[in-house]
Amino acid sequence: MATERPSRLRVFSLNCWGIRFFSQLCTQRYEMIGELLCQEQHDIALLQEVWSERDFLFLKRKLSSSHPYTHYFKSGVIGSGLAVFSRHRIQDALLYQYSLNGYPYMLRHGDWFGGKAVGLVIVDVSGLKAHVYVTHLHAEYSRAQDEYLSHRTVQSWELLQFVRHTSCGADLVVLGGDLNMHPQDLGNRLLRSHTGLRDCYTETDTFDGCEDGHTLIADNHFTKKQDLVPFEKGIRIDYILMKGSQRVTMKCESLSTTKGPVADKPFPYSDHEALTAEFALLHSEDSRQRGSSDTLAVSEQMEVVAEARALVKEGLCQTEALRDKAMHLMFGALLLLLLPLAMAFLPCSCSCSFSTLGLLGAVCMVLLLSGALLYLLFTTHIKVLKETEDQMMLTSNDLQTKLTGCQLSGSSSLDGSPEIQPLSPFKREE
Amino acid sequence: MTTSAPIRFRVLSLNCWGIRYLSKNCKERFVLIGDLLNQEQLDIALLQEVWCEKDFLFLKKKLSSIYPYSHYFKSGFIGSGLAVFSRHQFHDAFLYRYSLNGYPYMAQHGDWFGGKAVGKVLLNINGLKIHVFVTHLHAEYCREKDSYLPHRVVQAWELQQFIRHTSAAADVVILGGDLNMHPDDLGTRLLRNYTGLQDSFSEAANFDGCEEGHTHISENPFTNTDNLVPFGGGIRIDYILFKGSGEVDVSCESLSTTKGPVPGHPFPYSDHEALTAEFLFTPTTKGNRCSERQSVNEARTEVKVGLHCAERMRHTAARTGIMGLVLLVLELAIAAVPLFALGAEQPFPKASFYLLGALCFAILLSTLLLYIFYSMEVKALQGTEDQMRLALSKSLVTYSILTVTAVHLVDIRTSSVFENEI
Repeated sequence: MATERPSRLRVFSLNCWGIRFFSQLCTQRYEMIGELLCQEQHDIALLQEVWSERDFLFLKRKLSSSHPYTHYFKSGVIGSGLAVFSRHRIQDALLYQYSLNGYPYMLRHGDWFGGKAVGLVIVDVSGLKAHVYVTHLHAEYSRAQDEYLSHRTVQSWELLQFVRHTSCGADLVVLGGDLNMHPQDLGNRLLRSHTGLRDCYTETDTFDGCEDGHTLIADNHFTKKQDLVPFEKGIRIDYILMKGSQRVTMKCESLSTTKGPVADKPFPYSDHEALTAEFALLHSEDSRQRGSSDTLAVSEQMEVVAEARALVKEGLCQTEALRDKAMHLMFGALLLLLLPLAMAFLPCSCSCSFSTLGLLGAVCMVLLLSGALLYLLFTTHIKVLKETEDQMMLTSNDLQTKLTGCQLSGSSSLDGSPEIQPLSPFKREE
Repeated sequence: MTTSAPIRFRVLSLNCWGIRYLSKNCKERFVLIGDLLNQEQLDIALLQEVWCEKDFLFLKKKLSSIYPYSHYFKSGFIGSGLAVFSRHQFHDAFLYRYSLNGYPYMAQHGDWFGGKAVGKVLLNINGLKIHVFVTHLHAEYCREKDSYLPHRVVQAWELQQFIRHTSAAADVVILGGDLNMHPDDLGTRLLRNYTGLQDSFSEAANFDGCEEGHTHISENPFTNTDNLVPFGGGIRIDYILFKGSGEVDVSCESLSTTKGPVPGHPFPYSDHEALTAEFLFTPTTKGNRCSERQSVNEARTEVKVGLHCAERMRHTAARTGIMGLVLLVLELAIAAVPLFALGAEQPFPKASFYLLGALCFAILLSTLLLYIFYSMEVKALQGTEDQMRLALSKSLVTYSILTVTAVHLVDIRTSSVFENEI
């Protein structure tokens, strides 16, 4: 076990609510956020909902001396809203845009235009390779009847797949962002059980912040109380998750959140609270994988995948029903189109004016076009849901094999990686 | 170190041309492809353009005894068309859909509807982690004036990023597919340079197939020979690329392609030729280092060109939309005149009013959709340019460090020579 002094890493995460012309006091709040980041000198700051590039550039200029390395992830129509500011060199960046992200016609929700995604930056932290992920999932507008539940489940799945597949060479992994999910929601359990990432709130030695670690609270005067119902005080939907590796042991020494109103300032930084986590990084000589799991964890993974799969299947049924409706709309419009055409060309007695026929024709065309576009959209969604279901099935089968292997050979160290590691004559023996 | 026998691994890649109702002899060719795969004793088959799920399910049934494991990657409207059949179990599959893939209004090209992507499956054979990628990039319709070039460069960039970032733990990496790029094209060079993947055609110990390894040839009755005339009758656009690691050496023992017409059959398997590569995985102790050379500057230029184009198109869409709106407002204003006019009644031109109104509305709707689409294109191109800039700055830092280190070493040696002389 190494005895040197641990390095430290401070990570900040905040949903900035930077919707220009919509969110209140946007420009002033960015000033405050810039000042906060300048003072606090976090190693890495992960921001979400920085929708306007101008705001990003403002922060970049303001933080150019304290955080010279930045990346702004662009996707969708106005997104992705994800920005990273780092004191350490960013070596590489990769974006994975979620395949499902709401519907373009749900204008009052607007998530579809945001091009929500997960961004990865690879940061060199004192010689260690840190894979830092920042993300923002689809919002939950109605917990009782969540019409976007299948989209959010698919996003959780794609997030965990992306983290699993791209974090193999990492010394440490950090994920920060607005997951729009409560700690025990399916998506969160899926993410944590399959990646091995740990929630800083539950792992931290010391916590200073809102009760129960809430990040969207009633005390924040930007938050609408009706959004929090039935949770009176607040909800915890923003997270910083972490994972070490064989080389590095990661420990969360402290976690803090802002608590709504900011001292000496007239208003909070955002409608969300900011999270700050401080990690201690110890070079580990231990070759055992940290966070090792056993048959219990594998069973847990299987259970949660089965639950997710059921949800995705349900979403698939719903989307197929929507696609059928779109098809009916198209055919209905086509049939309806025949009516004015027939009346225009047949010498029938009914004397409808040309303009009325024209209007009817125009309405039919609009309906036909809408039907076609919706058909296109829903077919694409169906493909994504089917693909996600297939991937979940593969993982499920793989876990079943692991479980059988585990049960035969007793408990063994298995982590969240997608690989089986059986003993084999091919592998070098140390 | 325990020694063990090297492993042989046979891979096939084929663009199946499975566009139902459009490609010729589609059903019959899938029967032939099924027979071919059953005969060839492959470890893994990577198929592209299997657009119809029914064809995939047909193949799955036909190949179930020899290739019990399969995955069909679904994305976009009719795609992705990528299918994998394997003798060995998959432990996982993952899909990355390209951000840019043509335009929805280019219906005659249709790539946009295909949801082109790169699919990945993980195999584990005797403890070896084998990461297999299959992909199909946007087609090249006109080499002299390739309006899709920025999209294809972005796809090549995202492909190399995806492979690099997800195969850190791999012992062996294999990529098969229709890249729709010639061997020395920018995208292919970018891919090979950044991933360190090697081309099986250049590395194969034995080759048996079309001249120059062409995979799209004029001898194939399905191909349009006019397009191939400037290229001497064939082009090489399908590849099987490979890479080993610090622990495993991968060598390509042989590569073969089909040669158009198939003996005993009335037509070939597809309009593309099939590639079959045989690899040998040997344990090794030497480390594997991937050298990064810069094709990125060239790629960045292409992306910038595409960006300017997309921004211009978006601007045009916005301008046209505003004009449509102005026209609509004008028309409404003119229509309002008779309402306020006192005096002589004039016949209201209803037909023209409605027609003009419909036209304005159609303009507004289509320009709105185009504006949304071009905005997404701009974002994707900007995102790629940012990533490329990052890659360039990383290379610059590495170059600087190496230069400084080299200078320092020279200094030390010079001063030690001095000391010896004194």
